Amino acid sequence: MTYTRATVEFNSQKSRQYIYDDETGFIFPWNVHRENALKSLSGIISESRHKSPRQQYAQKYVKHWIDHYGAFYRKTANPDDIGEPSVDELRDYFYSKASTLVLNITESCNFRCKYCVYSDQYPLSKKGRTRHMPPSLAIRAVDFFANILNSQKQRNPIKRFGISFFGGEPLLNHRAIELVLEHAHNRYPGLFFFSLSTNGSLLEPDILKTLVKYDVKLAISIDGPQEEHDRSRVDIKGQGTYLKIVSNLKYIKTAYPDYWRNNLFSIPIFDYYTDIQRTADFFYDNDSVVPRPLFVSPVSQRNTKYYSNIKEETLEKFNVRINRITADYRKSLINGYKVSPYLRILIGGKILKIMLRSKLNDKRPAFLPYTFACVPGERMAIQTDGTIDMCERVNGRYPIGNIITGIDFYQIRSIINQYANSLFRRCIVCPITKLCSKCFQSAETISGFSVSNIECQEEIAAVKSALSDYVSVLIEKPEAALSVHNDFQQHLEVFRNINC
Amino acid sequence: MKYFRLKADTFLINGANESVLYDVSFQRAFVVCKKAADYLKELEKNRIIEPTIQKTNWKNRLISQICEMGLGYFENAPAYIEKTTINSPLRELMPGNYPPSYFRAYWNISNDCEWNCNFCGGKSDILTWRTCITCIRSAPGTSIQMDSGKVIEQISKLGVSLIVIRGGNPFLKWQYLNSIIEEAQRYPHLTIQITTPGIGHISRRVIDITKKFKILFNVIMPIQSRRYNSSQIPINIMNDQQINLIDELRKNKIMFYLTFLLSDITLSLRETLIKFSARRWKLNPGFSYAIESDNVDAYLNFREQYPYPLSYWKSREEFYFRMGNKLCLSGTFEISSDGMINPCPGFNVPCGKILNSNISSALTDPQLYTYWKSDSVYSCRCTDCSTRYLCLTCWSTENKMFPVLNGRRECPFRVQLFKDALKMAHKASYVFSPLEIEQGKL
Repeated sequence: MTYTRATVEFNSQKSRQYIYDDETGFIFPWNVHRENALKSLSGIISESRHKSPRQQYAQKYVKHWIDHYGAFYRKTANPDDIGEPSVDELRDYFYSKASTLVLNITESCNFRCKYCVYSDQYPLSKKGRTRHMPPSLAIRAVDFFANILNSQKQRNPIKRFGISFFGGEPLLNHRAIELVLEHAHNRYPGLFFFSLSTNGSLLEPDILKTLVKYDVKLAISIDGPQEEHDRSRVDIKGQGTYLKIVSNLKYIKTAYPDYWRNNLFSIPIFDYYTDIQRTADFFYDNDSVVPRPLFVSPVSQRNTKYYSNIKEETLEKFNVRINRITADYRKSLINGYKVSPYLRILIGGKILKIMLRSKLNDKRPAFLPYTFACVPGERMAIQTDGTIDMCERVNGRYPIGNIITGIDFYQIRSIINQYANSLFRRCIVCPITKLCSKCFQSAETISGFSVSNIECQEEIAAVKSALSDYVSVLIEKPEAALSVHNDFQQHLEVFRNINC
Repeated sequence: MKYFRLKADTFLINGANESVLYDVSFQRAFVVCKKAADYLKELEKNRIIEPTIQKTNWKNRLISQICEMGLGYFENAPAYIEKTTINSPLRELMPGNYPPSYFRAYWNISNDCEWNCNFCGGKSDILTWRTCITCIRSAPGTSIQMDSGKVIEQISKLGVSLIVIRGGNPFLKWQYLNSIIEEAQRYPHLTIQITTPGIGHISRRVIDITKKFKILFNVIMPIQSRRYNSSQIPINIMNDQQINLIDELRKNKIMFYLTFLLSDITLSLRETLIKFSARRWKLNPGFSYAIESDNVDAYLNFREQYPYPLSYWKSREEFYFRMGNKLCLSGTFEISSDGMINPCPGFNVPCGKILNSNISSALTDPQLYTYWKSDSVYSCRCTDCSTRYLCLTCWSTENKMFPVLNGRRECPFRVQLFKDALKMAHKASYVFSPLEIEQGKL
């Protein structure tokens, strides 16, 4: 058994030194005395005989955190000792943690967005099919899921679970959606909450009536002002789609103002060509029509040809803009200025992620101890043919069962083993395992799961930057965290259920 | 020039008149007067101070005292000190994680008893304290007999680890009790405890049943005056049948607790009962109380009130749990004899009704969980009380008196305690341990 230092150093904007300790999840103000104390306690440097009061105090400080919380150093076992899960272990985990059913209700879409992960730009996840899920299969999937939830319902009778409709454009198969909603509502009253990811073009009055009746949360893809949106989000004929979506939003606002306020969210996507400031202003100025964003996601950079022609200067320009906007956002938080809801998610989301990070007692399952990966099956994505995938965003090469034959726990074990063997050797010595955002989807390549050393370094740099932002804001204004916190609470149910 | 900061795992919790510093790692708590607490709060905003060893004014004396106790330290530059928690706040926020976990279930299987004690049956003029460890029925009413197998199975699936079977006297439903215990043995993680007044000729049955199954007993001895008893059975100070039962339990090495239930008339017998139990059975008994509501003065003299309500946490986990949950109630529910769900045996506040032995559907009433969570259960008085994370007092008396728990019955003696502490704060020093005050050391 060896010990590895599990800390990452960072500075606040005013150059105050801190370390983040991945063993406890705590952030510590740091200085040279504490660093030396830690090194001397761990035997890296010899202990000086005569210590100044400051050095003595630093030693006491560091020792306190080591003795009481096991901070700073991680017991590094051999990666082979992590151990693969037994099928029984996986089965128990599955029946106690399954939380969301994603129905991939259709593969068809009436848009041809240029960055779509199912388009030619993404050879790995490209889908050439246009199948609809038959309503009978969708209903069967709901029954299958409800059956899985029995043990959780016994233990926690008020717990609710998510059913999410995904596509393609799910509303192209709205008949199946209506039947599923009716079935789930009548047969399992109060058990589910529903959500639907849509491009917003098919929100016709008849369809809306059903969605309002069953209180379905809507995540609508709208990228920003017309030029930004229409640059990528085009229909089959290549025409912009902004006007149609905004017209539908206006109708919803007028016909169902409460529904608009409580159930509608936008999920904007941005790329390196996006004018972030202009987009942020758009969401700020149009918040009476365009719903507040739930996620602001970048166009995926993995396994794609999308950015193959991007110029260096475009990248540089984008980074300069983002840095400026981040600095402005920090100032706004400190001074209590109102900020665009777009920036609250794009920049504030990173700060929130630090605030809500795992701490000492938040243990991941022993067989999947690192990264942000869900255990396959916690979230079940049902494909149009009844195949069960671990997530709607993986490419379909890792099915974990079928709703006819059930969950294949041997397959889940095999997927976890592949993932662990590819990633965990590096994770064991990583100082940000509690903040890492890698998962099955983001580690997927043409030849299995893999994350390069450069990607890991980029992840660490991004985490350091977010830690710095977090601390810089809270030094100046500790109560700023609360406003982000409250904002998050409002979005919580949907956050759990919708994945853009 | 320096910046003084409290340790990340030291919490300054404000009350209306004073504050308490909770040192989580070292399981300590210190009373701080309001003036000092305001000053400490000000320093948390990165205010510069000049550290000095000269204790020239009260601020310097306060800071040096806190440093000596290891509750805070100086930083060279402004810093953000994040208060430690051991779980992500996300865990608390997630709707799926609410309610927390079920720990204990009390199940009143019989409303019958050989005795007819005057304080029993949910009478409004009687206040009871720690009802959960007694055989006092929270309400009169008929008993319904539910399917024992189904109920035990459902309780087990909730994750409960301890089922306390109580009455009245559960032994009066011997066949039913037997079937419950047999069913419970199918779930190895379940522990069964039977709370009984121990009267009737039950010694043989108790011994027979414990030969087959591992069960805990809690024998209640209601120590009453004749004034309180309207039944036909003569009651002495201690009942012979009960004494024989405890003798048998001792002889057969069966695990049990002994609880004396005192009234305001028999309070004075407490010391005698302790000595008697120690001499005869070599054990320390527990005590609970039932008193008339117009004799509240007697209530303030309960000895158990003193060490019990202010209690340190055993682990960091417990402290952080106390911050979000009411330790006494959280994870607990009672199935009353008529099939209602109560937060505990001392709270006759139905939070659901069991129909067709279906517990799960009866537990969907959110009212139950509001009693579990500290923010809802804590009254306005509690949120003004700086010792709220030290307080483990039983609220059943309070609940009897007032529909909204507001501490009017429970808190007065502690309020007095802190008034005394505050007087001393200006005379002796600025930081105290409340338990030292309680024990008369200060």
